[in-house]
Amino acid sequence: MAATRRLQKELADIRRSGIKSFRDIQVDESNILTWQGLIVPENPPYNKGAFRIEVNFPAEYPFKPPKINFKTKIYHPNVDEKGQVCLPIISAENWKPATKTDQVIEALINLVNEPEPEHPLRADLAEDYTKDRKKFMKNAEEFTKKNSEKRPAD
Amino acid sequence: MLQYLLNLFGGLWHIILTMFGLGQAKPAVSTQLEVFVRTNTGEKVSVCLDPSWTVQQIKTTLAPKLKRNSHDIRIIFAGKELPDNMVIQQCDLGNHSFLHAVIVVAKEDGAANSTSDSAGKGTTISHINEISNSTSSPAVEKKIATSKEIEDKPHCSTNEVSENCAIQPTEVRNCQDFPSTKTATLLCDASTVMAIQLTEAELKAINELKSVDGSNERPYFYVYCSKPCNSVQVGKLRVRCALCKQGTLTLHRDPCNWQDVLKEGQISGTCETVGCNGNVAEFFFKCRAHETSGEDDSSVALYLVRANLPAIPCLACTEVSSPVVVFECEDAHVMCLDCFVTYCVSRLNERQFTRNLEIGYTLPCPIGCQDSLIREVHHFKLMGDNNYERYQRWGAEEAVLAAGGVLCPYPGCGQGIIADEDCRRVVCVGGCGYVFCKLCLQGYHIGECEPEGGGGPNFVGGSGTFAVDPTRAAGSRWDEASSLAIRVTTKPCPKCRTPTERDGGCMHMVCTRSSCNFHWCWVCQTEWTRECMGAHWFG
Repeated sequence: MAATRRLQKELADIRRSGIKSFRDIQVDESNILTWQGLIVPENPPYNKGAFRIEVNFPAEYPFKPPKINFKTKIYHPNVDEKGQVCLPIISAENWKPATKTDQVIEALINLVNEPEPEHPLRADLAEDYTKDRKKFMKNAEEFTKKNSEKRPAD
Repeated sequence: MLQYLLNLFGGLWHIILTMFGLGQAKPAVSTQLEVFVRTNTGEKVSVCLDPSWTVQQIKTTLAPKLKRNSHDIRIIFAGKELPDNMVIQQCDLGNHSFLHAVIVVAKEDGAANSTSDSAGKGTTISHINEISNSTSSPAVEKKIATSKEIEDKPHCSTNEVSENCAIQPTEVRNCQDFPSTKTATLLCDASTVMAIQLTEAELKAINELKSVDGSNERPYFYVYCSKPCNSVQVGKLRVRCALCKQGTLTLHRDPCNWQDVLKEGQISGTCETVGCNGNVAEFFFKCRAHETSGEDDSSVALYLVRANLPAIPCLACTEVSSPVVVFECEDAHVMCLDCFVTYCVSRLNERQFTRNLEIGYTLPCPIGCQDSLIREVHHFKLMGDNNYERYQRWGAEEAVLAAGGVLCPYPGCGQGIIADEDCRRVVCVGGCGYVFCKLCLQGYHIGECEPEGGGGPNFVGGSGTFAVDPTRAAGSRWDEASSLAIRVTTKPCPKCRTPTERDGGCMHMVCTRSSCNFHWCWVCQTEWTRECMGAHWFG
């Protein structure tokens, strides 16, 4: 199956690349279509923690895009309370079969580091982010400290 | 002479054996080919020959059967006269293939005859000259040796030929942009594939590959063989007269691109069938994998499928395999056959094929490149019979809808009907005969359309003979379960009314019918707006 072969290759490539901001990638041997990993952002306020995500690949991958869900709660204008995130690169209209998972992860890390308040999933947070950055940062930092995962030591 | 007698005897002996059904059983005979020979006078004989024979030997075997002198017979195969010294193995001749024998009518006689005859020869000889110029591959060099011998043969009067050839070079020169044309010997050869579909860069790449590893794959034509193989197979290019459909045609020049092969009337030739004035070549393809089942056993060329000689990885799975599909976009994106099938089936399941006026129901390169639509829809046969049938049905439906027609709403029918514009009452002619209203797609009614769930297609009006409670009647409808399930789990696209199921994700819906593609909101059931995005994007 095309999906399995390609994902095995992509997984090996990502693991080999040793990317710092996405690590601890766990894949169930029996199901390569679901990946879990830890996002480790660099920018405040999210640099106080780490966030577990799940990437779900459809059986038709790479002809249909993967879906990404946050397993760790995050205070972010582009991620809703259920952990759903809207990433243009994996929307049905923009998806290209040649897009690789490392590009998707990179886009996700960029979005976490730099929120896009003009395309929000949580309008209230987006408003704070644009109008009262100080308040937003304070809330986000508190929320991160309370809810996020521990950052890896190195 | 002894050789001649032996051949004659061998041929006859084999015929006797086959007559008694013994031919196949003998191992010595199994390497032989049974070939049908059709003459320009309409005779058809079968000959058993050994692949190591030369063309001269075939002629000798044929001569007594046709009651002619072997010098008066010319053998035409795949648009070329075969030179006497050519060995049959080189001709790519399969079991039960058809050869064409042209009987030359008294050469030295009447002026009309001799001119037409020498014109025919001119083609052949000029072709041989082409070969002798080439130096590229050892196989070809071997053939040069044979062709030079032919040139030396006395009965080919070289002077006459060179005069007649005066027009020839210009025609041949058209092909010289394609580097390998010079080496082309027979149509079936790999060199023709190269001439037709490879660019100069690719040829260079192949030559480099060969210098590293001689055992590499060869370029081939690929066809879809629907019977009996039902799969992609290596194909062979053949040619016949467009008028009489016989293979007794010699080409005036070799094809040098796909246009020459796929478009009608690109290349002229001389048809040798008695009474046929055909002068246009018609190309077709045969499957190489199965024994030919007759003269009309042809297959469709899948011209996007190519041997992956430069070893390009698939854009989807990144594996290197061969053959591959090469799209016609500028970047010529490459996809392996497995991924191509997955791509087509996943697009088909979402009904996301594109309708193109010229081509029909098709797909572009998966990267979305411009001008990359697949023009030969037989490529979709790779999806398998069931999917191809679905593909055809949906393609037809989309065409009907695009032409302003309707699909019969009767369960299990779906016949496409193009009704008059001002006519609301549509009868499913040629289908199930159901009569329905064009506007609401319910059973035909007089007056205004009722909202959905009103009468329903099988509702019997007031004139019914039994007094049945309408709700009971509705619950007893044959298709109730599925229509109920559809009504519960789906919402209609606000624009085209296609029942749509939401299987997760956000509320932003895009109509799954590719010709509609309407963006709508699952909550509001109207067009998707910024407000929907802000207020209830995820419910």
